[in-house]
Amino acid sequence: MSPVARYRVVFYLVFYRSIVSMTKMYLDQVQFKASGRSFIQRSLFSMALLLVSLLVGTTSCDEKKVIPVVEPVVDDGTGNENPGGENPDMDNDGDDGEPVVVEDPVDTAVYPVMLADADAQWHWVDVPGAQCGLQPTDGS
Amino acid sequence: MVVSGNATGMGVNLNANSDVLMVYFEQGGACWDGQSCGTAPGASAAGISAVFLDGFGENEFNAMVDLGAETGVGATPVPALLRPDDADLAEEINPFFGAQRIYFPYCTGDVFAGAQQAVNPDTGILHAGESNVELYIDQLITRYKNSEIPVPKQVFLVGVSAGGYGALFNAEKFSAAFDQAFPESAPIEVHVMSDGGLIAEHNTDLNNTLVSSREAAFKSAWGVAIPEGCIEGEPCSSLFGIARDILDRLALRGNATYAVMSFEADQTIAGFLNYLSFDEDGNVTGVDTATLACNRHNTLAKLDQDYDIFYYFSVPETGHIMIEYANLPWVQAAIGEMDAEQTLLGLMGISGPPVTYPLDASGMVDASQEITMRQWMADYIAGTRISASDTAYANVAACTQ
Repeated sequence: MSPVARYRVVFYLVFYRSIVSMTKMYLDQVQFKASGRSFIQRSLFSMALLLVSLLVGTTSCDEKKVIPVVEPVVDDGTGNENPGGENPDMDNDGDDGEPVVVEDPVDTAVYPVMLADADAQWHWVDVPGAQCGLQPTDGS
Repeated sequence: MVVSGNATGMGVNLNANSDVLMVYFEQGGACWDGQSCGTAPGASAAGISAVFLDGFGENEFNAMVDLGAETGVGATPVPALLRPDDADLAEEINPFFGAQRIYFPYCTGDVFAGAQQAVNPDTGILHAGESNVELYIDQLITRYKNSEIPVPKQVFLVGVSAGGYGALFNAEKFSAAFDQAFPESAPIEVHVMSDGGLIAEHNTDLNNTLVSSREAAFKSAWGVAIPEGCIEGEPCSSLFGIARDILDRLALRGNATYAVMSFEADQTIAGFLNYLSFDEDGNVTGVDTATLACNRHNTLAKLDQDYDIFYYFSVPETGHIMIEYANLPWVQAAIGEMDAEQTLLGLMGISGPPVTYPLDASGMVDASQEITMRQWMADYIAGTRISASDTAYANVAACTQ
């Protein structure tokens, strides 16, 4: 399970528990039913649960900012489907008999720097394949 | 298969508000055998005549454009054409202020003319300068296609020394790639400006054999192709012949130009092209700048006559390059006593002793008109293109024998 999904599960469980608790507290008050805990105790417990749920929810939102969102891919026969596809090739190694799809290395290499192009400042860009003259002699 | 072990890249500074692109081809000597490349057994470091063969990357580039490194007396300023637009004096010294700019590093020892796919066993170097330029161009086109930066309407390929050769040798490749990628803008307007990248014809002088042998070494080491239909050994196979072939095709584009900035006595190019002087016993005594100056004079005159697209800014003094460093004589003499600001202004002839040269209109020198190099470049970029000349060269008669 990815970190994002894990956070979402925790968030929903805690949030659900706090809602149930608050609902129960409300019904207790309305129906004047007796309970083993005081009103203040139950209120503090419910508020604590709500606070925890909000904290977890905020953390999970922060995580989502740095983790790229993977959109579901429909099985198009390219061999690059997501695990939920009809004919999954989870590691994209071609073992499903379909061609392996390789992303364009140029596009992925330049994308982060292109965002800074318009600031009229100098940026260095590594150019895949471009080589200086003296090559390593260690056999690598 | 291309070897992979010494990666490099390029500098990018694309102003979204401009549709003028300046591509800067860096300088740095050249090498053509084990001695000059420093790879032969026992080769001395002092004999290496090319720079950055062992690598040029982000650290080297950032150090070069570091404004913090140009403080103090005699400090080396950031090259004028690479100066960030928001830096002090940027507008005063840089004729390309506000333009889109690209920096091509030079670390292959081949004046950007090498198309080798493997290490040359004779030099121990991968001479892939031209191949690198192809990759740089591909990368640049990708950036234009994937961003909001305007595709340039005018491109200036500006080269210094080795880069001056490289700008010309790659001009057609650059033009063709942009024409194909952006057919709506084709043919793209391309201007080559070569500072110190002098290509002189040499078929009448005593040094002809020496120069021819050096050029043959270049072509062999770097894998330079001669023009289609040309026979090796014929004048068309010389560097001048190759340059003329490129000029022929640039002229056909209808919107390209070629400009040379050159000193009358260029000791660096004399050594590079193997112009040597000898004593009575046949011992080498130094470089023969006088013969090169003759060939240079005749070459400029011939190109001026044959090509409407050709211009030059010629300085009747000793020196090599003008744009980047303190080669102008008065700057050179005073550089140890000047601070960075004075040096920067002096490099472009903006302050200090006058750095002005007479204009040459249709072969007639008009000494009443003078122009600084900075103004000449600015006018050239703006579309007012002239040649500034040293046609008063003292030994013209000896050169035309």
